[in-house]
Amino acid sequence: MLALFDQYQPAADRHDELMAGQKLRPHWRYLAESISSLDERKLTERRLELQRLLEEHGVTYNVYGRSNRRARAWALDMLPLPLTSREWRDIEVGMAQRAELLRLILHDIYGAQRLLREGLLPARLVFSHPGFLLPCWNSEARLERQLTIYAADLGRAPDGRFWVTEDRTQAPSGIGYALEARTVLSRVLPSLFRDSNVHPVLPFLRALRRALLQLADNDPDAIGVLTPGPANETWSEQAYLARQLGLPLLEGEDLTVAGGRCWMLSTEGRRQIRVLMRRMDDAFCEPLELNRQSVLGTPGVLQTVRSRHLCFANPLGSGVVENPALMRFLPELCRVLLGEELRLPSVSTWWCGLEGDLQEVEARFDELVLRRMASSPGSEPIAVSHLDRAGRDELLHRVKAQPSDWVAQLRTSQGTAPVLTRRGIESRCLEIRTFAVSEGDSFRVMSGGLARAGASSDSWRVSGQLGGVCKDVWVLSSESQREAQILPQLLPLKPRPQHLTEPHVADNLLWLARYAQRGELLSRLISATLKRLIELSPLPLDPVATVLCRAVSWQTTLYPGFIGPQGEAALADPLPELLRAIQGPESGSLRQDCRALQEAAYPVRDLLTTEIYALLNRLDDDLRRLDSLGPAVRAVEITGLRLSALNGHLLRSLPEGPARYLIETGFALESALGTVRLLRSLLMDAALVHETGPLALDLSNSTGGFADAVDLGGQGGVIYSLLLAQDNPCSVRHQLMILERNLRSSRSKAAADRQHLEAAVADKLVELGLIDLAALLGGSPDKLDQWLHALDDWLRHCAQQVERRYTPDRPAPATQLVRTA
Amino acid sequence: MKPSTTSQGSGTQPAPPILYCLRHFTEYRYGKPVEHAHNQLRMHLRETPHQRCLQRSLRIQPRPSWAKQQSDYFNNLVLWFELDRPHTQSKIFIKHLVEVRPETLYPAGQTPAFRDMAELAREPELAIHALPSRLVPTTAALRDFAAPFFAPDTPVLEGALALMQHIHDSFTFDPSVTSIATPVAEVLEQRRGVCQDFSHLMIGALRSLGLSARYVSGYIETHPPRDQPRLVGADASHAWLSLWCGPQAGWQDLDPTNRQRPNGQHLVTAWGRDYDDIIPLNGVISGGGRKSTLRVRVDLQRVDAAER
Repeated sequence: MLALFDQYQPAADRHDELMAGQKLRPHWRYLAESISSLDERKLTERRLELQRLLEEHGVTYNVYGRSNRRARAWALDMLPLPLTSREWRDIEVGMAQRAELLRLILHDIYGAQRLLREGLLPARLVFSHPGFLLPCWNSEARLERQLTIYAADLGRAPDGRFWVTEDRTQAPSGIGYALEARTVLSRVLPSLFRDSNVHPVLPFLRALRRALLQLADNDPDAIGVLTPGPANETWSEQAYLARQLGLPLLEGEDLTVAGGRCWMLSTEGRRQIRVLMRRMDDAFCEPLELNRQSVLGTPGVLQTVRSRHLCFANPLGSGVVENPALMRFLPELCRVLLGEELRLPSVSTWWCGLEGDLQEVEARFDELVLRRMASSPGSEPIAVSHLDRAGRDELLHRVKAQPSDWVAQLRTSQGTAPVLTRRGIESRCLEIRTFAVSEGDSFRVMSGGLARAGASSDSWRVSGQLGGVCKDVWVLSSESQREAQILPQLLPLKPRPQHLTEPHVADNLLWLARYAQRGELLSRLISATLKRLIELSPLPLDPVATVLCRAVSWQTTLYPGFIGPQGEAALADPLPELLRAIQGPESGSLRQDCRALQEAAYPVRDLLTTEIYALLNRLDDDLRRLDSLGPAVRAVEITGLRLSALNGHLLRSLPEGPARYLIETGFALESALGTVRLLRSLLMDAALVHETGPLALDLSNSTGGFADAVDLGGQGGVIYSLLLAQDNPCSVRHQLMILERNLRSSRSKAAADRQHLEAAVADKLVELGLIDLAALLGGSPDKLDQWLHALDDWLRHCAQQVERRYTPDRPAPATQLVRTA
Repeated sequence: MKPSTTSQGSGTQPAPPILYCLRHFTEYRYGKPVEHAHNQLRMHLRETPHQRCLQRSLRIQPRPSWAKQQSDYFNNLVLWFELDRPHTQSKIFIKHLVEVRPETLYPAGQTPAFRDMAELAREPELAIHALPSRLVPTTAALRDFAAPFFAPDTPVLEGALALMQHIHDSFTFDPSVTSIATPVAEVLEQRRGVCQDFSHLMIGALRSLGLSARYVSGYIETHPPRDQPRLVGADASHAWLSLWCGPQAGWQDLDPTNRQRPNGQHLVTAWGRDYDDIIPLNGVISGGGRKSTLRVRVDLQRVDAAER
């Protein structure tokens, strides 16, 4: 036995992937030997590499959803799950048959209902399942559109046979994770991977794309991926898959139904969508006819489906065959509908709604897992053997009270497999999810999938251990595989102009740039303020430090901060307020800027380079738990450096084109706004200008611009440089010139909008060119500030206009005419 | 709909066909403009063995930008339409000229015994109405409520008539206690409600015994006092139910609000598992502000054939 594996102890009553009795299964030998040949240091190296790849390239990303909760990273085991081609061939044949069978059942349930009529399917099983959506009934539905993507969770019987523990027919997740697992693992173990002749998973992705294209009559622009949005737990996977498929990721609000057709709202108007690969549960897609509480869906879509102008993959209502009780009836249905025996069986299943089944369930109660026919939150499967006497009796009583609600399945539905942990190789229960996609009138099955191992040796479903660790499934071939294995060539790194018209892309790029610019200026300002405090310490604040503190409040908009009567108290002990500006939870703080930046970057991640991901991932790592000046300065400076590196990368990595225009526009707008705020907070007191003037120039990164300003004196010189100097690339005027240029070169949804905005910017440039700064400076002290205030308002308004231009016109929030429970 | 004061219409003499003119006017006013509206309308009268539509007209304002008519699972006529121009009020006016033929009511005593109803045909059309639905659950409490009226050998319709009598006697018609969707359990407990609640309640009670019962929506002719002119707008949308009484008797209508077997004075719009399946006008609007007011006027009058 090999060193790493010699402590391995699989459970006796289950099938184990690695061991047959005391012997290593032959198809594991090469893999086990290779992994065992790695010493501790090399193993650790590979593990770190795996983690890094997952973080920087992958589905995993420290994205802050709207719920403001850090998305949990998924764990990938370095040890793949090898399966022989022979084993997989049986799965492939069985999966394709099962998909075909479920498609026929769906077509019947939502059509002729012959199975119900002939008593092959109990009416209660269909009509009392919440997945049955009566409005989706459509006698004219076409069979081949009834099911496009099918997923199954496979376990193993104790004798090693594969069986299905879950059928997934609504909006199965996991294809993205499976692609990702393959991409990462093939890089972490390149030679092992190459020599193992693993069947590629990439052809499945192409088949999926082909299937969607076929539904769309070969028009790639008529396809979208429908997502419930970033709050959904698998949103990042959805985004990843959408990008891999080259399809726009759409939320309900990005779609509208008009004239009986479905349209995507883009920044250049609307585009008809004919196929939606959905990741949204069925009833949520349609607030008019299905779920009237849904705020995620698009009203009217179901009627567009009936009129055949839209096709969901999978169709709405397909959740009805996810009912576990259906498994009880599949063998018979397969004989009737296909004239064949069911090749890939289900885990032994009993439906308590049948008297005979109920008796059997009672007799074998302790071996079983009891679950509701309709799964809902809070109705997790219950393993009888985990209950005490009283709990067991109570459960049996509940089952007997409403028997038709309950389904029983064998508890030992899963086998075990080795997982590489820090403690060595351990045995865990295992479930494999794999996928089938419609191809002509048959189905194509992924050569591989994603295995999930529980945290204990018992089923993760039952032990409540969701997630656990994932494994890449390697189907070993006897021949070497010539197909491309890894995916990066699929990622479109160059933004297509059309891509930018998709909802969320343009406005996110714009905000990405704005937050990056805002954060950079803010970190410079805070670090200058903190340094001033350190220099003064332990003396009280001098006027310059006071002005700086107030500038922080103006920039962050965290009021009262150092402003007003309440601000006086904060000035006496400025550290807490400054720490709030750095790491506070309110929007406006440096940390929240960073988070907002990460959030804006996520949907456009495929436009950004690896370096940018890496920076984004660590952006705010240091901005937490700060409590004193020294560490705060360091943290803010590091963050500032990362932000400025990020900004540099952004500009360098994007080619001339729409994406770059958007980034430049965002920079220009935010830089102009920041500079005006700086001017107003630092330079209004002429007596301090000898100190605050150079500070302001420094903070805005200004160079040059003094030449024309000598006549204006200290205050005037700095103001001229920051505001008007054409040779200072940081001046407000310069920003407006960039803005004007970009507005001209980018396309827009409405020519009228564009001209209006362009004219406004051009007018403002003329105004700045003609302004009599000396007169402004010579007037009352308020006059200049008022003028700057007006400029600030104008810039804000302008920013809104620009944003509106890059945001699709969406309908107003929807409400229901009729309210029901 | 309010209960009528007439006694149970069990007179069994076939009467000549009655010609009705039905006008139904619906108006929504919104605080702010509605930009876009998607609607689903189930206000067209059905064709039934007793009911025939002679004329129908429908006017919608503003003019729909798109509309399509189709039948649903229960073969009810549904009209989907969109309004795409900003509007602060929308109006729907629908007018029917309809002929209703009263019939000799099927003798309740000749319907199958309750015990034999369990052997119901498997037809999905029947099974779907024997199972709980979103607004009508089946519960032990409902079963207990109905069971006393159904001995094993009670003809099923006789049992249902007794149950209807019981609901009529022990429940109070009270429009103030119910919104559109009072849960059936609450209706059972508080013993008050409107036609919709009584129908849901009785359907739930019958289904809890394993019987097939469906929800029917439509209109009813209310009787004006003899010496006063008939008031326009006094008739309203109404709801009742149908019970499956075996292949001979078929579906038999029961109106628990009026303790009546509908015959000649009820006009059928649609049927389904419960109200939720057949909401007369359902819609999602974008915009419209927070406040909207709804005005509905229904007018149902007999027409002399000569007046046509």
